[in-house]
Amino acid sequence: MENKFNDVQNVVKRPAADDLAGIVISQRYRLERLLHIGKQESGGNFGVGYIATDLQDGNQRFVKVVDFRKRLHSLHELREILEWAEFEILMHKACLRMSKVVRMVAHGELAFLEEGSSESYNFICVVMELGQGDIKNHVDYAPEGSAYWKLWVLREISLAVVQMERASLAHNDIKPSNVIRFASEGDRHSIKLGDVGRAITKSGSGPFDDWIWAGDPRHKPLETLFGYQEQEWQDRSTAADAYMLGNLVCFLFAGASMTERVVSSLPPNLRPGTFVGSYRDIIDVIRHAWNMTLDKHIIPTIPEQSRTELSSIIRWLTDPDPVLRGEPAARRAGTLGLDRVHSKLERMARRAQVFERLTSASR
Amino acid sequence: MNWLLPTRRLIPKWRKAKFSLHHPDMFGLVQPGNGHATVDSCDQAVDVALHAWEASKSIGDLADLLAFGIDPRRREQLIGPAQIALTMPNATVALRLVASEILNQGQSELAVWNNSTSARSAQFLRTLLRNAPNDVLALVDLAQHHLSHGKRKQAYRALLAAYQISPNSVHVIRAITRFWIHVDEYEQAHRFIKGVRRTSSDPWLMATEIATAEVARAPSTQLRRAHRAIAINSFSNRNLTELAGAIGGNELSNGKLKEARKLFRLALEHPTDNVIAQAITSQKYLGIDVDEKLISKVPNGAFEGRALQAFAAADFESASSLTECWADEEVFSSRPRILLSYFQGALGNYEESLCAADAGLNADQKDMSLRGNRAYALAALGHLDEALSELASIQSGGNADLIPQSLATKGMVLLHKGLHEEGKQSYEAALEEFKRLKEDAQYTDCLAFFARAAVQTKVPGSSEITRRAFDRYKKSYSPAAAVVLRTLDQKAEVKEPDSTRKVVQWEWDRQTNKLQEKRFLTSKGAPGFLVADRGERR
Repeated sequence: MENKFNDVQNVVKRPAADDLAGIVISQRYRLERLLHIGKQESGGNFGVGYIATDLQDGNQRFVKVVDFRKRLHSLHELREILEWAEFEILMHKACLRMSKVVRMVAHGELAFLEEGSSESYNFICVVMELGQGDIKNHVDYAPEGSAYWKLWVLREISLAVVQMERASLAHNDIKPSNVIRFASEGDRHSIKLGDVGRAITKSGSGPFDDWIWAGDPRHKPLETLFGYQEQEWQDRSTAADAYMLGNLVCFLFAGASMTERVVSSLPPNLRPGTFVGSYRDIIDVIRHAWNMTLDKHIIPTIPEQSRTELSSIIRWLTDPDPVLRGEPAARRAGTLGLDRVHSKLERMARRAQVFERLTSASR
Repeated sequence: MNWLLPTRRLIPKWRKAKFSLHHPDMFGLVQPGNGHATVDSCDQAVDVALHAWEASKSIGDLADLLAFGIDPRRREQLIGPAQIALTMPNATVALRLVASEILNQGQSELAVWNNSTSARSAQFLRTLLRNAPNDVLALVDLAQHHLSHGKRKQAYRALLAAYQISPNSVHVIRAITRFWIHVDEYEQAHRFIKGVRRTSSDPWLMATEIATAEVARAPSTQLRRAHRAIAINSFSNRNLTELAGAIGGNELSNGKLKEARKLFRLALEHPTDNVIAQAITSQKYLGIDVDEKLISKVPNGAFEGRALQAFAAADFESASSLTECWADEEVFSSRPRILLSYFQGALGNYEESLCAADAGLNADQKDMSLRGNRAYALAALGHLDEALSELASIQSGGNADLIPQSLATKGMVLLHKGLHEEGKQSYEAALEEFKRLKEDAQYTDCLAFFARAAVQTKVPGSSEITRRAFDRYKKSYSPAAAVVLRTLDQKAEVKEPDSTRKVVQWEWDRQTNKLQEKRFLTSKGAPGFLVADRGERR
């Protein structure tokens, strides 16, 4: 349920956005400590992050504080940041019922009224559930590392993408730092997709809907690197999410981004920024580079028991042609079939779990 | 031994993908850029990722950080983490490659394309295709592999699949045309290229159509359009190179030497290896100086052109290694194999000569020139019966052009058998035949080979034959004879090349102290650098 607040506090001197530790917002969320300042990898985040305690239930929360008033000197910047913040809240509202997307708990304005001043200084605050950090510092590339955990992460994120697809949304910034771990229930790891602030809407009402790419360039789908966009929303945006899901498979097993690998394996005169032709002119070369990269550097890193199935999934999801991306049978029926990919990943994860139990028991 | 190749025309080259990538004919009118590759990443983004890695020191954070290697501007910041990644025991192959790419640029490109086994192994290509059946480049490379083993049907099937997937690809269209020409289906080749929609708008395909029409002895549908395109500068000079060469070749066969020279000069502004090889082959008529500076303009290799130049300069060691590279580019073609077996045979490397002939025959069993060279290598290695059976198969082929070569090789077999008189007679008959056909260079070659066979088989009067061969060489130059005579310790000096026309002349004006590059075809023997005294003349 949406929880909106409008908290005005009287202060002697207004604190800065990165100096709010100790303040209680809306008599409920006490800001404990500063988490990060400024932009994140994609350049998308524009707020200051805090860890807060929910005084009602004692749970820890993540609070993002946006100091939009700092941008008053530039009307354009102010409008942009307000638009982005409002859009992020809107997206969180749209994702409230999605079990695999990091949930917004509350949002609203925090205003400070200085003594003797009639005008308050306000921040936009977004309170979200707090995870245990992203998957980057949890991933392990040792051959004996758990394939089950990686497959479960993929299962969870594929479900998040499916949930967003059903709401006619595309995340468009799926990357390791946006995949958040939550407390596990037994052997069921809880993973959620965070940062929906760069999402794309099918209705075309979002601030990033007209952008060729708003997310992290390292994980961009190959076609967007060359400035190519499909006409159909599904082939453009959902296909981009599918690509990034495939890219996440590469990160989890091979420790590399597919985009980075394919671009680096192209001759310099054919790389984005130098090649002057269209994406369709170069797609044969890209496909060959992609195929060889997968075959030589990505697929061999996948554990043998999941290799055949997972390599097919990577190929379906990261196909250089966005029109061909997705589960083949579903593609023939006109969708990307990410729900089928999700089921497949779940099955594989379960199998890997059994396999790991058996091998640890035999030891 | 025989080095005579079928008449060279500017038909498209069909190289493996890894070689084609660097050539302008792969994409047709769409040309790869020459600027700096950029993938924009946010200024603060690397700092945040770096901070995250420094805080956790986890391999996952490191992998995420190194992915910024996609943006070449960030590489300096990533050197330290990349070095650490290389020392990590659990770093994956891909992660190591990312790190080495950051430390030494171009590693991944090499790993994927150049050092790849895909170019050599049909098995690897099949694996690639099993995983991605729509990998067009793998299909075209696989077709080359099939063709190099004489499997024409399979090659055609692979090419057809590539064409169905990528019907607009210049690389595929030119490969299919080349395939039809290779299997001697000239009319089919012309019908195919004529029917492609893109042909009328892409100069690279127009050039292919013109050259194919010439081979098929059919009227070209693009010739008039191509003339007009050149007259009104419809395309940039870079894209006109093969088109100008193809029209130039057409003019040359019509006897219009002046027109042909003009067109070849235009073709050599931004030459491809195909144009360079054509200009060298037609040098007798064009007289254009194809020097190292011109060859270095070619994006990659120009192995055929360089090999032909080394051949003319009687440097058969270099010619052999260059021809090997050329053969590697076009594995299906018997042309480089004929030359390679000939060069090695002339140098006295008979095992290598036999290998080259065998490799060529693997691709085309009916190539009688290769059979002739194989027979020679077998005879020189002492496999006389096998050599005779090869000669018999050439004879049954009924190719009249190869009669004198066969007679010469038969002479060598007889000399090796100890039948000196019969051997000599067979050689003399071959020489008589060359004389009748007015093949002066081949007469000189045959005499030199005769002298060497006589010395090797200790024929009485062999020194007399050697002297005769040397006298003949002095009268009528031939590079192969020079090489063979050198193996007999004769001082066979290489003839100075005829004076040629330059495509560029530099002029320095002493008065104004200005150096000017003049792009025109000079007269024969004109210097490459001129000093002009315009002021004094005035």
